[in-house]
Amino acid sequence: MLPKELLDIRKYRGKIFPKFLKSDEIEFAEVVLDVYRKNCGRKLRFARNELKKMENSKNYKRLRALGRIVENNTSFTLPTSLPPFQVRKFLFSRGFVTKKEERQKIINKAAEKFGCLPEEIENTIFADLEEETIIGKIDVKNAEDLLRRYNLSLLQTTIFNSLRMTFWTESEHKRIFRAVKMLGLMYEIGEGITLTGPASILKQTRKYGTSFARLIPIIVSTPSWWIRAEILDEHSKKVYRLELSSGEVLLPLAEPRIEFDSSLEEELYFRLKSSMPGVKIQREPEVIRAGDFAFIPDFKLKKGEKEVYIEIAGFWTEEYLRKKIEKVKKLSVPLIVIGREEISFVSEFFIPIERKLPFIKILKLVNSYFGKTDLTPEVDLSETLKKLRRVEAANIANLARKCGVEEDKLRRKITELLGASKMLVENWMFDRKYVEEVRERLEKGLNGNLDDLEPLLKKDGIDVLLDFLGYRIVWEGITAAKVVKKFEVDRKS
Amino acid sequence: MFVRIGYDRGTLVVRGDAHIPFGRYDERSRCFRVPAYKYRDLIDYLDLSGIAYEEKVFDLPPTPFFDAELELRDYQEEAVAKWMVDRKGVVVLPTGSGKTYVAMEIIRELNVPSLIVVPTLDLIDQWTEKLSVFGEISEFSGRSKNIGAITVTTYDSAYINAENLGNRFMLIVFDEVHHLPSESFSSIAEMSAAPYRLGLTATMEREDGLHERLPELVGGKVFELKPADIAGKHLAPYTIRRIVIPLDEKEKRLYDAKARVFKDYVKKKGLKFSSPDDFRKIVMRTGYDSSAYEALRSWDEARKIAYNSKNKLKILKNILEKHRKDKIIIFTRHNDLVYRISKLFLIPAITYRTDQRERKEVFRLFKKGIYRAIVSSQVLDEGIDVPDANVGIIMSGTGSSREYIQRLGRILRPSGKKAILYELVSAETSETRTSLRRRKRLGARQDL
Repeated sequence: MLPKELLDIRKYRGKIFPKFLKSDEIEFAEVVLDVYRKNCGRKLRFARNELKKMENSKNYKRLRALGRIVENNTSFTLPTSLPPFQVRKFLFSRGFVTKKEERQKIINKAAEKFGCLPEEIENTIFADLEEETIIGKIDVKNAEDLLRRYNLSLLQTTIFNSLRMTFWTESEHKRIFRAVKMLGLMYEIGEGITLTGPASILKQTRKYGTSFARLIPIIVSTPSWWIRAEILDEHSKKVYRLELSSGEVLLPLAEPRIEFDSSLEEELYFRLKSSMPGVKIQREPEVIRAGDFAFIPDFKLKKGEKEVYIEIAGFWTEEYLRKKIEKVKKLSVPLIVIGREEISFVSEFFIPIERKLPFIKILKLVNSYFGKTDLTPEVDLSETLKKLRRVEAANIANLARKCGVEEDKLRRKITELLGASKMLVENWMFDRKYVEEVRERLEKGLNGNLDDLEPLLKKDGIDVLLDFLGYRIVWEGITAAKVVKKFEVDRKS
Repeated sequence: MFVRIGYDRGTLVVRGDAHIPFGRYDERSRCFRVPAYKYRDLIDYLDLSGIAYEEKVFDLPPTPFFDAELELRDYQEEAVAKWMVDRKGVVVLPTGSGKTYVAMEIIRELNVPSLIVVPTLDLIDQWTEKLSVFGEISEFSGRSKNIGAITVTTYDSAYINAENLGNRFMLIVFDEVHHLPSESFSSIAEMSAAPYRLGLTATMEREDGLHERLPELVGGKVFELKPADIAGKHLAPYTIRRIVIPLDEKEKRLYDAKARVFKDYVKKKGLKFSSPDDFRKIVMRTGYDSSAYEALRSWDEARKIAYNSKNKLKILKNILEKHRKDKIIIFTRHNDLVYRISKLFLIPAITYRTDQRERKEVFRLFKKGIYRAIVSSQVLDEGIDVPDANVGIIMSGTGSSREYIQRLGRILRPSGKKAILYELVSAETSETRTSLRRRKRLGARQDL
């Protein structure tokens, strides 16, 4: 986070715009990082002076802030092997002096005592001051990394002055709510989650801004999010709106991480994933408003239009449940609860937990809800194949991934069941009628009706098909193309 | 009618069927919420209205009998008596006049869990040492997090933990209370339910006018003394010597050139400097107006020339030679000059960057007389006892009269010697005005 005098923002029509660095402004980050890298092994003050010379009214906030971020991620070493504190004590105990000769005498004495040259004593007196230390390892990957960190700091520093903040994220809800609780904030769920603090209703206070800012890194690490905040201007006491969503600004890339509350959750996640292809599994999918409290189920399973939540109620006490249960029961989406026998009253979809995860029971319940009786984790391809009958072209690899089945198996099934109407070419499946159509149109194309070809060229898998039929596209400029027989091209060249 | 009062993260939560003033109804948690510092008002209201209540606000540390006898000076006794009338309010006493003892006597008489809020870690140590006559003293700070019957904390720690400390004490003492009304620190007082509040300072006024919030946060002024009132009796008698020093020719030329850039800009924009706000306006412009940026940079450079002039160092040399037998504190505005003087004259330096260990060591050796002088930027301005110093040399400073009075206070602890404060000012520079501003509020005494 940055000191407030380096906060670079623009205010316009009641809105506040932090001046984030965009990808075409990476030069700022490059220049600053270069200065520090170039001065690696030298005293910090050289880098700072060099940076200072580049400052002007337009860039000084950015340059200083970027410099600060580099420094915060750099290790520094002392420029001397003598202990500065001891040297100072030795000198000052013999001071103070008002004459040059007097001073030199003491310096020489110190040199004798510490076994070095008098110059080294001079160099050591304040060698432990920040700007006298030596720049060591700089832990910033590259200019882009610096730019992203700067943008995050700028956003957090803006949020510091926030009176209230509303946000939405696609995932990580449990982690966020744990943090909200730890920070002593209050939330309301409406369109997004609105955060305030207990005293917010008594006074417009920025006291909670620091806490909001601490949530920012978690929020922006999710793939999809938005933030709206009310920012109080210190001097004018006006309130400005900040609005920002994912994709609008370059921020530090999230380290891919999946964090589980318990090993049970983790086990369930991976087993569901491997045995239920075709079912979308979301972890901590959303915040459900149940009366006064927020409820975040562990998983949401989605197949077609049908949805079901799963919650492993490991730590739910009976008392907690009795309070919340009515509300949970009113949820529009059914909730499968896996927990101890005693709490079976919570849900009509209840599975008692045994010594280990009752996986087969869960699977049975989920499948029966999704309208399927097949109990084996075998993937059912009949639906997919049925749909495929009407498809002109499909990429086998993509399709297999979507259904959660091995490519070979899908190929086998297609040949077995659809062999009469479909054919496989390389990685693609084509409808035989469609192949004939294309062939005919290509013949026409050769006769000069190029316009007809354009929609054709946009079709899926057309490259593969053309190659198969012995044609090749020759591009003329950016938008114009023509189709020629392969051997003609070969002949020409 | 019946209500229950509880404490929730810096606020009072009131549930029941009666209407509650001083706060608002909170939809989020379906109760009335009242700022914690309205605790006394709220209880008074309930008592007067005949509303029965159950109060579960405080979570107090166990408190022993504070068994100690304190001997107070007459004005300290008077201050305590005045404060006791409403058990709220600010006591204004000059540095070195024993404000701590006023607080200690109040703590002793009330004998309730007490929190003392001070600006720095050095001051925690200092207060802890004095308070230890009452037994064990707890510290709540960045380096230790203990809460006991008497706890000392810093403004920073108290602010960060305001929501958790607010119901742990009955008495809250703010040392250097002029810090309190800032936007952030004021929540220490607002989030506390402590019914008894004491503020201590040498000057209550702030340049930004925020001291007007003090009556609401701790209570109004209940007692005041100025340095001139007790100088000679309880404080050392003192002399102030202002020395106006010309810049050398080269500096003068550079100063004039730099100052001109700034003056021209101000003139061109038709700005007047009637309040610090005007200055801020220029600062705000630096982001988009390159001439504002240049003007400000020039102004800063000009000021540094005036503050750090070579001739000042020559005069400093003379003063140091004259006071070989005295104990001297040298004050500057900027750290650069601290380090320059330290290196040149071999005088220990103290700035906000000096670590705790070294700072203590410097004070110890200064007390013992091994170090005869200390050079410092701002940190010594406030509160810390620097024993026996009787010569102060102001190389440069801000226009704040508080800073000036505090610097003077540093050399006024009775030591048997007459105190002398030198103020070095560069002639024909804006520093003469700065110097004038800082001396405005000193009271009856003038330069001798």
